[in-house]
Amino acid sequence: MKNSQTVLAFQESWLAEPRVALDKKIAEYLGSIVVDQTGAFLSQVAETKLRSQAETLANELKTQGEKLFKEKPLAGVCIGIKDNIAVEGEQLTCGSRILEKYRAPYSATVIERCEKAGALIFGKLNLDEFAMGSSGENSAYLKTSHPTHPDRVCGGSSSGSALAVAGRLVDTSLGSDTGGSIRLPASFCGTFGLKPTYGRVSRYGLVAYGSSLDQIGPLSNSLSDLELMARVIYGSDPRDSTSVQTELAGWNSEVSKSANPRPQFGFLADNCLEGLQPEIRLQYEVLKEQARSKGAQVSEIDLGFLKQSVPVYYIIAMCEASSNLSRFDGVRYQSRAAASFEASKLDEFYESTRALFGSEVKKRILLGAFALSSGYYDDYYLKAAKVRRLIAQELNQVFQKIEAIVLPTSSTTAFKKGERQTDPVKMFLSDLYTVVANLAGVPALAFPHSKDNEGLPIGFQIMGPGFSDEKLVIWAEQYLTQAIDVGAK
Amino acid sequence: MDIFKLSKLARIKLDESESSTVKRDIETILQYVKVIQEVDTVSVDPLLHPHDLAALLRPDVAFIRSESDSLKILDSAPETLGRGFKVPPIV
Repeated sequence: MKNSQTVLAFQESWLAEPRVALDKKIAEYLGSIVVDQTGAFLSQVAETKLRSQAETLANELKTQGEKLFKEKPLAGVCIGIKDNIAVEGEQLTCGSRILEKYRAPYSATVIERCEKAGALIFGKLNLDEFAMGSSGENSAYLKTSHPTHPDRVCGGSSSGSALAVAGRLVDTSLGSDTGGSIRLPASFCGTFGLKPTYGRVSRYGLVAYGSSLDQIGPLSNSLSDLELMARVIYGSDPRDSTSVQTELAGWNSEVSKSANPRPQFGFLADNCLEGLQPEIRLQYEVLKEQARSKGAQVSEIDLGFLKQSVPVYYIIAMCEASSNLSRFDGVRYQSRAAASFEASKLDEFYESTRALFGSEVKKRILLGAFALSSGYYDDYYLKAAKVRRLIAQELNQVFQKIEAIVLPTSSTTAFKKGERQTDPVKMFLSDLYTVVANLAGVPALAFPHSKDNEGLPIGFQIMGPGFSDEKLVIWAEQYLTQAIDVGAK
Repeated sequence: MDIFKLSKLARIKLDESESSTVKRDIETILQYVKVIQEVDTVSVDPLLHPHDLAALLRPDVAFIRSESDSLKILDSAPETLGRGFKVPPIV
């Protein structure tokens, strides 16, 4: 039987039998990873390392008792890490051939924080190459499949992070979200996923894709696990110049006491819901009624800028990507394809190594280079950055009137593999409801809600103004989630 | 849009079959993103960063890494020269 305990429930049972409970859980997870067919893991940490960490923790638990969980809130928590986040000594492929042999020389800040808090890192998780993709179909390594419907995609780009959690291969995982990359796979696979306020979680050790959009965040099977992870990974970091350098960065559990007991939620008006899968449309109404019956105030809002948000997002993300990925040049990160080392063949030197990028990555670098090039910069990059400001301003005006927006995560449930691979625009539209949070730097929490006629998970998200992350967790729990297990398994 | 010029600029070489697919996709995307041209942005400043923060500067104090940390970074290089990355000659 697969482990379906929350972390807090596990810690309680572990306290009763410090010698066996953790060992048993590790054995169960390792067994599930061996038979996993979804392509969640790209690499695993050595079992001997896990076992010795577990033994140390068990000894600490025996001497300290439950005080251990105050000092190490993630003690005994088994986690998986998206393979674009650095774990010292482990591979860091970003799902790309260009980093096939690269090993991280240091750990990301989030990893240091998780390890200090007692988490056990099980390994590195699959992703769309350099986090570019919405379906999970762009990894240069393992193919991914939806956990319950093998002909469907699992969503991306944090594909493995959602699969490992939904398939109960770990307790929780870390992913990264540039335009929906945590929330989309979370929704497709029936898990929770949190995209934090920009700057509240350090990006140090995260391989950059769109630097002004990227945030690391947790995925889990319960809100309490999500909050536990957030509590640990949030906080300012002097090593990330975009990190919020005040105490506001850290997770504030006191917020729950000041959260409005009758919050005002905005639900999208009909004109923002065109093209929504009928079952999602229906469940959106159910959710609205549910929130109202539980005491929330519900109003209708019109986000007229949704249609512009996807083009703005893609222009900015691709421009930032073309700049960020210029570092992969055959000099610093292991892979070098060129045999010759001559000045006359300098272009060939770079081009031969960069040929190791997959086609989606090449396309985005080229588009970014185009949008930044002389003669086009004003019309594309600069224009997009200006519209970005208008979108952020309009969103802030909406948040003057209501406290949070409840909206779909995607206009469909998990679609069929290959279905959108040949139509880039259709693929981009998968991100229609998610990119706004990244453009404005605000938090959004994806939560599972129900299922469609084929049994595929339907998820929604709640998005609030900057620094409302804690409230989103509370409101999701009180007004938006059902007391039944809607996880994939 | 000149795909050959672009691929030269980005140091991304495309073979013939790849270049026609990529060219087609890029043209489709450029057509799609045109919708933002209609938005009136007169007197709007670009938003380059979500919080409009000025770049935060840390105190001007060197952060000394240990010798072994430096070596770990160099371990990642395909080729090194002394304590540095070996780069291709440019002249």
